[in-house]
Amino acid sequence: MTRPLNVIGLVLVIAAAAGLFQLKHEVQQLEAELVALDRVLVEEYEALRVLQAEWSYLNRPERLTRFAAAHLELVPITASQIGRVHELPEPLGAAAAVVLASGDES
Amino acid sequence: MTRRRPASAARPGSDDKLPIQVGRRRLLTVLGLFVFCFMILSARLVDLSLLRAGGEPSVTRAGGDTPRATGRADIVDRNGVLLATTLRAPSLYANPPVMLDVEEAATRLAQVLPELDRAALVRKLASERSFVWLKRGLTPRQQYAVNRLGIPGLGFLDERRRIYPQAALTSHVVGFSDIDNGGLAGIERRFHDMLSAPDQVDHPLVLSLDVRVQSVLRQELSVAVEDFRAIGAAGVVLDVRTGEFLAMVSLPDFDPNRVATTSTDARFNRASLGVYEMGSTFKTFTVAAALDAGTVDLTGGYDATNPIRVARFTIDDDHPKKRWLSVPEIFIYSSNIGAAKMALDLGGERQKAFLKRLGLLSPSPVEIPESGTPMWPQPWRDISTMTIAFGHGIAVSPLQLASAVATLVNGGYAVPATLMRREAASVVSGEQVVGRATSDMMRALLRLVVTGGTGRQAESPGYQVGGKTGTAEKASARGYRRSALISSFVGVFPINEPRYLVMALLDEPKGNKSTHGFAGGGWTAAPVVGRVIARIGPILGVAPVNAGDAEPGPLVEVAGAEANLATF
Repeated sequence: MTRPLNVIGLVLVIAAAAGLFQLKHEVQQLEAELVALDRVLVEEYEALRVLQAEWSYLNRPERLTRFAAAHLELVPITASQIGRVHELPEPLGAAAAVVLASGDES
Repeated sequence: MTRRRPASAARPGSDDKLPIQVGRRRLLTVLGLFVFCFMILSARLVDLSLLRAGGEPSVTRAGGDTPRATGRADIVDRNGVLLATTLRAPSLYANPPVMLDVEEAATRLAQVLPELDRAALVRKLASERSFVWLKRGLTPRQQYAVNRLGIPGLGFLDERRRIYPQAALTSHVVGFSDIDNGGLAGIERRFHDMLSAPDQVDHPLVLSLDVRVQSVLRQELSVAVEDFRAIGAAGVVLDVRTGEFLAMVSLPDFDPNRVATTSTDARFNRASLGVYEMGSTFKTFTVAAALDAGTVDLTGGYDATNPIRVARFTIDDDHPKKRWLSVPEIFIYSSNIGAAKMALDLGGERQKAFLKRLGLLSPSPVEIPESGTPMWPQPWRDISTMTIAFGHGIAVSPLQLASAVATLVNGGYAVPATLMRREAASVVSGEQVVGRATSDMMRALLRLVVTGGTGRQAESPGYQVGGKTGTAEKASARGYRRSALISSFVGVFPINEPRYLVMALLDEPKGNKSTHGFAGGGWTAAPVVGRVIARIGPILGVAPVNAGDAEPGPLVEVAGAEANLATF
């Protein structure tokens, strides 16, 4: 009775060892992959920070003001340009629109 | 177990059975013991591996746990614009013994890093040492350029460097840190522990500042400093409801990225650390205290015909009217005599208590270490009461003054000054310092100063501005100096429902042609406030009012040549 038991035990031990070895190998591989990914992640993260800093640097209000003055035909908005809806003239009716289109009305 | 052979030998038939039973019993005992132990072990094993997952991390992160943290949290403005961040800054070093051609290496390095001198490079690279610093803190682009040269014997060491992308714009608030990332000034210093706490590194610190408003204020103040050849300036923009500072500027300022090259004067925060005798802006507090205590009302007034002489002092008006003045007149013509008499009526004790409740007698609770301690006389004599009534004999920081005025116009409740963004919901109204009625009257009076008094130049079309001018002579060792002024203006808009307070203060402005030689607050600081309001009003979404719109408010009768009946 002991012999078959021994044989089974031996087989189990070998199988377990092989399984363990395989598992360890896989874990090592995954770990290496993780380290590599993490390094990429850190690099991307650093690049992101540099870009954020650069974005903030390039968007300095003083610099934008300078550029807007040089390249845009726009000036800062003033209070007189802001109105409320009820201050708008009454909407013209269809008839008035026709008159307008014909150029009779100023 | 002892053998009881003599006893059991007496029984027949049991002689050969006994040892076996004993043996079996012992065997069972030992077996049971072992089984028991193994049961415990396996139960513990199951317990540890399956049931108690929380005790230890179920997944280890061997090797993969590269620190992503930068060591110090970012600082951003209220809209998330980056004000301070930490970047990886590689530093370039050389190992001269392994270099092939020192001359050529130096030439090519000097080409990509123009700030390095070729001759100095050759000298460094000629050394026998195996480690020579060439340049600390390279930009990524420079590092790439150096790498592309492919010169053997060059290497990089990673360092961390604090970067302030907005440069001088927020220098006095954000402060700066040293090369080891230790906070040395401003927010960087006050929140050093929080910024460098490992679990906080990913959470940026959100300030109440708005870089757009900050930029407008700084630019307008710079223009004024130049126009009036002032030695410095300070300004704040404050949300009167929450106490948040949207802008805080002190000129001259400095580039926190290059702190070593800046002067101590540039690093001095005039807005929060400097304490000044503010002059007439203090009349706001005198009038508010008197109105709130009921010692005088808007129809009352004081005789301002003759200067007051107390001991060796003479209190006189800058623009004497030589007659009886009503309370609104005292305020808008900025009568020192009237204010002094008003304060005497109120009494020194009540005046002091009032200023204390406004927070003018203790340092501001603002979150930067550079918060100036106010100076006031001890004991508080009658002469002090009189001079403090018009802002002399007491020195406070501009931001303290701004917070106190905010309290007077927002309905009367104290707002603790803060540089941290507050959520609208979390705003708790502080202690009620003056009644709502007093606050309403103060708004009316402040508006009168701009429509018909000393602060006309602060008017900004579309945004009804109310405010008060202040001009004080700077004290020196030999009394006050007539030529050295602190000129200020504190303005509030829209005055009907105040949202923001804008304050500008110029340190020693000199009058020029456009001001007819005057350098007072109404001529120098008030226009700055007017221009700032015109520019930030649309940014902050304050609805403008039309010129024709009525200005509702209490009726204030103003006798005199300049004004008659002001409906407001």
